[in-house]
Amino acid sequence: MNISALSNLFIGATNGGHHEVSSSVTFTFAGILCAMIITLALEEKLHAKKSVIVGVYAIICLFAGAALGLLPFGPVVNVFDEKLNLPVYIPAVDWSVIAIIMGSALFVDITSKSGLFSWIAIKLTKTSGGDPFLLLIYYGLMTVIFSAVLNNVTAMIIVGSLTAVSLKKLERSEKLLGFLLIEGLLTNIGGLLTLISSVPNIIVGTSAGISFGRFFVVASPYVVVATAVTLFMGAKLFKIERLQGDEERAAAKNQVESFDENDGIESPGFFWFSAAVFLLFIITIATTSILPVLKDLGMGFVALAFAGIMLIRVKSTADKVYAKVDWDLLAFFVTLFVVINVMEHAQVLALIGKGLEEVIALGDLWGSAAMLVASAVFSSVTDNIPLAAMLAKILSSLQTDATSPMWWSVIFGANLGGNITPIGSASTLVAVTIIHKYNLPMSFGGFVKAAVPYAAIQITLAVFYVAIFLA
Amino acid sequence: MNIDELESVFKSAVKSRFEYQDISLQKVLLVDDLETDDAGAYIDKINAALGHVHDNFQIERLYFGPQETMAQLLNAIDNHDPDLICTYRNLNSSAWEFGFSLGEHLEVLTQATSRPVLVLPHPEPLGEETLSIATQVMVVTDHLTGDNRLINYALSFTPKDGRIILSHVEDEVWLNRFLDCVSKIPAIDTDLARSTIIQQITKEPNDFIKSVQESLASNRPSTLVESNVGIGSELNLYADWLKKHKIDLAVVNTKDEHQMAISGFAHAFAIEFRHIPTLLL
Repeated sequence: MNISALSNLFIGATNGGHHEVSSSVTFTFAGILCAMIITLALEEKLHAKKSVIVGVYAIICLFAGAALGLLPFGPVVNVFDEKLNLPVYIPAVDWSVIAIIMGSALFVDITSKSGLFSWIAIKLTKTSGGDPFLLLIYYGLMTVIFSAVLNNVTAMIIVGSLTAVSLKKLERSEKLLGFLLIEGLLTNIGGLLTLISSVPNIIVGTSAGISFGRFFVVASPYVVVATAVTLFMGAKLFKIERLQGDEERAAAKNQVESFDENDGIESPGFFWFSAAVFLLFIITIATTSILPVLKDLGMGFVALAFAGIMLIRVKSTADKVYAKVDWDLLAFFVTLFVVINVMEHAQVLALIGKGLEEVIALGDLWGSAAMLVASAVFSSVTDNIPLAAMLAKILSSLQTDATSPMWWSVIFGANLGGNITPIGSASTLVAVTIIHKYNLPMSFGGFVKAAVPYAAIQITLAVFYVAIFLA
Repeated sequence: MNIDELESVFKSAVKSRFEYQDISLQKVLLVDDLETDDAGAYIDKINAALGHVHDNFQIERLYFGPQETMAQLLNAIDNHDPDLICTYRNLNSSAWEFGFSLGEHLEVLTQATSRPVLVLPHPEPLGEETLSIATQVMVVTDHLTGDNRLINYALSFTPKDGRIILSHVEDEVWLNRFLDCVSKIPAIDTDLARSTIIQQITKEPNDFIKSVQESLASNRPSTLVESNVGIGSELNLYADWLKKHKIDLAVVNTKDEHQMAISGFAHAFAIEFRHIPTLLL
């Protein structure tokens, strides 16, 4: 039995066995949850990492929960009736999500050392011939695809870095702001394409039991339309146009030809090995839910196993790879799951669930629309991961059907909300970081002003898509 | 993987590409302090040497004796408007037998004019060996990457079937001082920094030399292009390389944007290797 199943079993057992909790306790913990969300929103101002912020709240929650008798101490029983003595905070964590994130991060990091992603990125740059409009289209599509198969943050780092270098080479740095903004917005569109593209997808998708294939089939039509609309708007609003005249085109082509796509490839053997394993990784992840054995082990195992295969290639420097794992992100997730678990025991999620029941009662059409917009607005001002984790838990506890549009409302809302403000998602924050690195003017308000027209159209499209095709 | 890492990957992928340009000489100006007969013989030697690599050029002579001033010389050069100035070390100086300087006139001339100056050994001590047909030409620099002008000039003095050696030396003293500084910064992995900096610092000129080879494969297929990239004491390395490759002509940049005087390395090179004809750009 895997850890996730064990965790679900534990959660299932405790759902039915909560202590009576007084409303004052519930409201106190709801206050702690609100305080945590506000603190997370002020992360930049406080100069504190997410893991530290949520870690502190996890300690407070666990201590208070234990002191008030809210936590189910005692052994956990698995399907073989074996009693396992685990600390109360261990089964609180959804380890399958952690495994997917950690495995994917390790896998992508090692694969990137082969030069595969930079090769693809530079090939596309050269194919554009240095034409700014074509660059925008190619970089936009690359952002969406990289966001889908890697993750939003990695995609933004790869494409954003290349954009800065190539526009400087083309002497078109004045277009950098527009490019980076559009790419930042597209990471959250691309992040909708597959189940593993973003953390909210992983959390909500796994809670709802949506397979990788179904996720892709449902999300891809929206992603195609939203990408096209975003690129069209970006080209118009930032006046990114095609080059005029043969001389201008020849000069631009000459400049991008100075990129050597093979520069980052230290070993052709490693390059082709990485390309093959990467393809296999995508195929395996996409079919995990139907593959024998693997469907039981889950996507987390697949991600960790592929990371293990790649680690063999860098076995002598594996310690350096570990050092590059985003431990802040992983610790953030672990502590967040702990906080949410305590909130569940304190009946805070049940309280929010009551509010959500009213939204759901509006019906599939209006309810899903309201849920999507609310999720987007909430995600825009704080981290979308706590929101996704909390709503996924509530929808699960309300025994929401896997085919319900509510799941998709949360997924679309949590992802697209990141396009309203620079703190709405990690990838837009990366975009703003690159913008500031190049001394381009972009305040919080400036970002909101520039991004809101795109976000409004993307969210409107999503509302119609969910309401018309999924409700 | 972070922004800085990826930026480094993409910055490294942007490579300077050599652009071949054919350089032709129409007018060569010999500046000398020789007697008329000796000057005539000297012109014949230049004709023979340059005629091997250039067609249709004419040589004019400008006498620069003890009575003339530097200002007059520069003025006269402007009036002649040559594509190449040809002269020798310690022009109009009795200090030619002391190997400690190029002579005040030559040092001023190389900086005051933007024209290339072909500096030959002083004619007196070496006689017949002052100038011969160059078949092995070496580009001498500590910054080869992107220097198309330097290489194109060197090529214009290399016979089509000759050999050009593109050299690049990183000063070991400066590099060690820099790496020593790095070793005192706890945030930087010293071994990693040392190996990667040394690798990167030599990679750039090697990449550029590859682009020269690719370009010449189509533009001058019978010219042999060789690479000499190293880290060490500049003058010691060049002493070895000049001897090893039996260099007939060295091509060096003299202008340094940070100083009025001739670039420190070019100055030291031209003095140290007095027997090698040197094209100063």
